[in-house]
Amino acid sequence: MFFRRRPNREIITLNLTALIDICAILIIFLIMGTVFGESSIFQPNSMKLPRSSNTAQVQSAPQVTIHDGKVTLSINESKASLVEFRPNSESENLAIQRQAIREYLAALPNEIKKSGYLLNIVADANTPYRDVYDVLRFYRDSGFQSILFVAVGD
Amino acid sequence: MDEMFSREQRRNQIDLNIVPIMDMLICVIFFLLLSTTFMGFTNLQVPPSSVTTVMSEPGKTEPLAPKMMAYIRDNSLQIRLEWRGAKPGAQTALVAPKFLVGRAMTVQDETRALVKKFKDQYPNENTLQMSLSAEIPYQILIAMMDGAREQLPDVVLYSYNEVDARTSE
Repeated sequence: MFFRRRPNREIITLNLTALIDICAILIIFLIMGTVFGESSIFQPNSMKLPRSSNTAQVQSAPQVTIHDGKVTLSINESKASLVEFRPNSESENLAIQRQAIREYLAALPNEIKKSGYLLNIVADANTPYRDVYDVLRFYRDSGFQSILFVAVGD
Repeated sequence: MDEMFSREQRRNQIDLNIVPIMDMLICVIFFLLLSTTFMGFTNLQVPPSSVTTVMSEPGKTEPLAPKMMAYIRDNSLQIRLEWRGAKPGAQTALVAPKFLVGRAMTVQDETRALVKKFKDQYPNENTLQMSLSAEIPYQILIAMMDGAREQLPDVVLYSYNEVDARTSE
């Protein structure tokens, strides 16, 4: 009497197929939604970009990075020191870079030429105005018509 | 006879254990969600440079050519907006050093107020020349451009030499 077997419990089966479908779609959505496009901006790890209330989107254009006293141009990954950009500084390195920019701009398709040559400037929030202005002046003289300051939006 | 009409033998069903697959998928989702950065970049555009000529014709008024400059004086940031024209004028705003950290919202607000006063007086003007003292950080430039561009969309940068020369007088 005391050792009577308990009645068998009902086993509830859960259909997991729909859940797996949703998970798979979510993964695909997240992978596809991640931006790996040309408009992404390269930002060194230790760089702190300025903040801005502007809401304009970043445009696809070559990039100049001012960081740790060095200026890097994305077209040919050439580097120059900030001192070379000072007025009256006759840098051979910059003369080569200027030539490379002119060749790059000349090879651009006509559609881009019509819309103007754009350049993204990426710099630390604490960079002195002198450095930003000197770099900007050089690249403008080299052929870039419009300068875009990259900042972190709100 | 009985064998002919007997039911087919039940096939062995393969039972697939999907629990580890689900675990893995959920881990991947969390990994993707956590590793996604939602930082949005923005940019501020300086218009293409152009040369303008001023004709000194008698009877024509001098252009306004508004200039905004920022420099440090008496341990505070001074933002000065001045213009020429028939009635030259200037306005100045002061920002204490404690408001220069982070996004410098006070700089943006003060710039906006200066530009709004000017724009109320001269609604047809759209260009502003802007410069800072050599050592002032880039964040201040961005904050000033944010404040000015709502009213004066064409901002043109000029050299720090002029600001430094004027402030050293």
